[in-house]
Order: sequence, then C-alpha cells, then structure tokens
Amino acid sequence: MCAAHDEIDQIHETEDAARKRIEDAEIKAHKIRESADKEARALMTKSENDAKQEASKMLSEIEGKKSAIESDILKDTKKRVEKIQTEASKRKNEATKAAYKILMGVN
Amino acid sequence: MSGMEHIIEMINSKTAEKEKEIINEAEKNKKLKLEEAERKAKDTSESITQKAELQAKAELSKYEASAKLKSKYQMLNAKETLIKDVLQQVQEDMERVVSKAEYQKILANLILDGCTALEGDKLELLFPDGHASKSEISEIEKEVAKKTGKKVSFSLSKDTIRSKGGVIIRTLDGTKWVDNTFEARMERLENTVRDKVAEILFPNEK
Repeated sequence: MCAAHDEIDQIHETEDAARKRIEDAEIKAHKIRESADKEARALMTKSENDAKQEASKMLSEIEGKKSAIESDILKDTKKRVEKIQTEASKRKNEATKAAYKILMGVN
Repeated sequence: MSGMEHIIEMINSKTAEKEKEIINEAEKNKKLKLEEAERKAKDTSESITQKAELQAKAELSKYEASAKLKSKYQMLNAKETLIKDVLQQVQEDMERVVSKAEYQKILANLILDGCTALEGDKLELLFPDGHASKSEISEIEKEVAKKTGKKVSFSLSKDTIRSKGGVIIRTLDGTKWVDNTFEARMERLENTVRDKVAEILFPNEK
C-alpha cells in the first residue's frame, strides 16, 4: 500500500516537473518571439536609416554635378561665341555693304 | 523496467517532445518574422533610394535644361551684338554719304523707288534742309522715263524735313507719299536688313 503511494507521488512529481518544463519552454518561446520582434524592428530601422543616408548623400552630390554641368555648358558656349565672333568679323564688311545697299536702294 | 518507471519515462519523453515543439515553433516563427522584415526593409530601402534617384535625376535634368537655355540666350546676345555693330556701321556710312558725290545717285534711286510706288505724273519732293541742291531733278525725270516708260515731273516742296538724308516723295495734293528718308527706310526695312546681315554673318547657324 505504501509502495503504491510512493509510486503515485513519484508520478505526480514527474508531472509537476513536466509542467514546469513546459512553462519554462513557453517562457523561452515567448522570449524568442519578443527577440524576433525586436530584431525585425532593428533590421527595418537600420535599413531605412541606411537608405535615407544614401539618399541624402545622393542629393548632396547634386550640387557638384550641377557645377560640372554648368561649367561644361559655359565652356562650350564661350567657345561657340568666340568662333561666331571670329567668323563674323571676317564677314562684317560684306554684311555692312549688303545692308547699305538695301537701305540706300542701290542695286 | 517497472510500470511506474515506464510511466515516468513516457511523461518525460512527451514533455521533451512538447518542449521541443514549443521552441521549434517559436524559432520557426522568428525565422519567418525576420524573413518578412528583411523583405520589407529591402522594399523600403529600394523605395527611398529610387525616389532619391528620380529626384536627383529630375533636378539635374531641369538644371541642365536651364543652363542650355542660358547658353542659348548668350549665343543670341552675342549674335545681336554683332548685328548691331553692323547696323551701327551702316548708319555711320549713311550719315557720311550725304557729303559725297555718291549721294546724288542714292537720291535718284530713292526718288525712282518712290515714284514707282505712287504712280502719279506730278510729284513733289521734300528734302532735309540743304539736300535739295544735291539732286538733279531733270536727270531724275529722264531716269524715271527711261526705267518706267512714264513721264513724271517733279517739283521741289518749300517744306523741308528733319532727317539725316533721303527724300519724301508725295502727290501734289499730299494724300499719298513715300517716306524714303534714311530713318524711315531703316525702320521699314529693318527686318529685311537684319535677316540679310544675319545670313551673311552666320551662314552656318540656323
């Protein structure tokens, strides 16, 4: 009778220990879920911050590119203006004579 | 193994299995959550970068268009300056010619041009003060008859005009006239002259 009682007690103890193990496992699982949320948030925040930094860098580089564009176009324009001036100066007399003829009614 | 030991063994085994199941489920859930977060992070990151790229591209493109327009204006200004130089030179030449013998021929041309447009047989000529003497009316009448086949007689008006050179040709009743003074011709023919000058100065520019 006493031995049987002991056995039942032993089974109860095992069951209690099992419940405790399950509770511990659930606590651990809960912590795993919490850490997953935390890691996911951190991952997204980092990624967003990195992208924002990259975007900001990209936009700040525009000023340099703008200067380069302006400088190239200005250089090209200067060259074209100088060319036109040189070519036109060779034809100024001809143009003056032609205009004079029109205005004076000279054929 | 006794019956009790068997039961304990079974409980422990089931417990271990359940423990494993709980942890595995949590780990699986974590894995899925992190994968989803990575996907979302990648999408967000790409969206931010693409938006910035588009903004940068649009801004540069706008800036480039503006710089090109500025360049176009500079070119136009340069051309305008060159055309104005020529027009200034022509104006000076026109002012100088009134004191030269060549002016007589010019006046004849301007009168011929005016009387062709008026088609009258009696016309009056108005000159700037002191210029009438530079015109040989009889010679002009002959020239007109030769070129148009019509007999036209000219008379000198008592009025003078304020002009650097040229002549106004008008009908005797004063209802019709052609203003062939230098200033009027410059104003009237400015577009033609500018086109011609531009065509000569910039033959390769469209």
